[in-house]
Amino acid sequence: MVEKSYVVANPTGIHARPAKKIVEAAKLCEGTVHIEKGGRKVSAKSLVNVLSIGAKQNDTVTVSADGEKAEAAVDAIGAVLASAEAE
Amino acid sequence: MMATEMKGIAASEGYAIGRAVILREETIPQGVTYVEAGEEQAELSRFDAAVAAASGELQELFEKMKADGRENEAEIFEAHLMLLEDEELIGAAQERIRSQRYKAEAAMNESGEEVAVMLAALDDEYLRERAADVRDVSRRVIRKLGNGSESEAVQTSAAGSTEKSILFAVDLTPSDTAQLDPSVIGGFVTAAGGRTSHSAIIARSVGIPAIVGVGDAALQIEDGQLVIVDGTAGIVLVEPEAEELARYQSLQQHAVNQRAELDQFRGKPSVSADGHQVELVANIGSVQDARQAQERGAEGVGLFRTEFLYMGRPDLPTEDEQFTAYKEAAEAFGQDAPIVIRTMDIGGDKELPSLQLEKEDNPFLGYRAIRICLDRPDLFKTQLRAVLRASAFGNLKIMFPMIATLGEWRAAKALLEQAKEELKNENIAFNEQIEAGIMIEIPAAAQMADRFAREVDFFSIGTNDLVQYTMAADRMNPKLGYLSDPLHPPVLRLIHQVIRAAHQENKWVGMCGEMAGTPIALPILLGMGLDEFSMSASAVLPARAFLSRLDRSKLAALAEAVLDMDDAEAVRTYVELQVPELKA
Repeated sequence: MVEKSYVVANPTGIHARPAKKIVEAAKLCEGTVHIEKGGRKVSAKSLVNVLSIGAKQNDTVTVSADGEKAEAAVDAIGAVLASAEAE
Repeated sequence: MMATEMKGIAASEGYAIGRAVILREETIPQGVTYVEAGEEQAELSRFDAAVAAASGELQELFEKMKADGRENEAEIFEAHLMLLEDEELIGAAQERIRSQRYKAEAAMNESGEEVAVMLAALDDEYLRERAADVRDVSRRVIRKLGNGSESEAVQTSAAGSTEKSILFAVDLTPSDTAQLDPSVIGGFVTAAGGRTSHSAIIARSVGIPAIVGVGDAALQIEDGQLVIVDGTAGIVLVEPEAEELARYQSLQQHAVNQRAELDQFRGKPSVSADGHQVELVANIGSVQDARQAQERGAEGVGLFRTEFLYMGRPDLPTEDEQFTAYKEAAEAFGQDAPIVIRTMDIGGDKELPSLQLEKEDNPFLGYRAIRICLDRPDLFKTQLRAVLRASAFGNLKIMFPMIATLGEWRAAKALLEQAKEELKNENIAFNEQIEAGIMIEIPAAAQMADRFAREVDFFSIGTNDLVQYTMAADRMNPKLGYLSDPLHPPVLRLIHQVIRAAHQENKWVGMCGEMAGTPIALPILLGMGLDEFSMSASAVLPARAFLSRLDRSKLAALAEAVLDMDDAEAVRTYVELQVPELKA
């Protein structure tokens, strides 16, 4: 299993565009991909779930994945989290 | 009946006068219904077929909006498509059918509500408003299950009437709003919602006034009542007094006249009252911006901020991706329109995850733009090749940012020549005569403009950085606002010097900072002889209208005079006195 933590850089938190990109990145991995904040751990392959953790700027979130291409998916999600892209 | 007034959040500005139409929510049968044991599989197939039908409909809407250049709306439908694949929404509904024998409608309704309620409870305005998207998607699926026809209330409500309708609703679904026809609907008022709700965003992009978050008062209205929507103040007037009505009619007329006046300048050359022609072009960051700028009357692009192609993604854009973006931007304007592509300006306030740049104490004075590109020729060459390839499809020009020394310019130019050689060897078409120029934003380059002018094809003055470097004042620091003013004579002297140096060598000079679109600066720059003004697209038509009233022959003296003043305040006062057309 691959597990890494990131700090959310986007000033508006994980909103529409970043959330969409996280789901796309999670789908790179065949296995399970989770995103966790403050004890709430959800599947990163669901847009609704990713939105529901309500991550804001400077929150720390943990991304974990299992299975083929787990590492690639985690890194790709990490890149979205670390990017300060405006909406 | 006495006139009443409602207050809400001004979500989209402008004025509308019309008859109220109440948009009632479709009623969805509440409560759970079940199918017989053994019918789960058939029910599941019925559900999947409805999801597929809804998905096809959304795909169609997405493509239609995209083709119409309505990117905001397209994005909403794209998100809805994603919701239709969501395990938490669709997966949960399927599970209800499979293991609890729910009827498909009930399964969708309950799953949708569960998710919507969860989002609505979050401590974040934006996410709360996404609950509306989830409900909208569930409703679409439920409609498909009932093989019912799409409710077109939004379109048909004002049929047969010449008066426009003002929609009143609890909330408009994103689908409702995206299909609003501005020729029928004058504006809308909702009980719920905030400035960032989809309905508000779309109202702004379609250009109809809207007021949201009015509360229950919005639903006290009766069909057919005369209402005024003042989207600028956030006020709704119901059955207004005659005087109020007359006041708003004249405000509305004034806005219409203004728009009509500006419309006359669309597609026209940019000429002063005494016949001096300049170019009014736009600053853009994407192909979508290019299309919008063209519609808004720009003659071309004076600054394509290509770094936006690099940002917000884990990897770097490929040569082909960049080529497509540059080519499409050029095609938005046509063969001859000038399109100035600025090579990427990463660093400073713009970070890039894929480059792993180190944090700097002083990023604006640090490792950025051409400084990175010359250090990473692999990265730079990819972009240069992409621009060159696109130059076969339009009048592209290439511009290097943050040039301080002649050495940097020559190194960048040498890499451009290398890229040309490569393409030639690979038999790929490009414009061999492509113009190459530099941005003047560092005082060092402004001071050496006479030397640069012998070698470059053009200059474009980037005033935002030129001001901050000349005045040694961080433009992000609000306490230093009095220093961050391009009208300070030291800045004006540099600009004047750069324009003169370029013209001495018969080269053209543009400006792509905010200053170029500022009315008070226009007479000064015109007087100095600036050739090209690049600004945000919305400033182009007003600038062209203003220009048509200016007599350039009288402005050379003004441009000389301001160089000798004490400070920006003195310049501002002087220009306001000398140029009465500023007030018109």
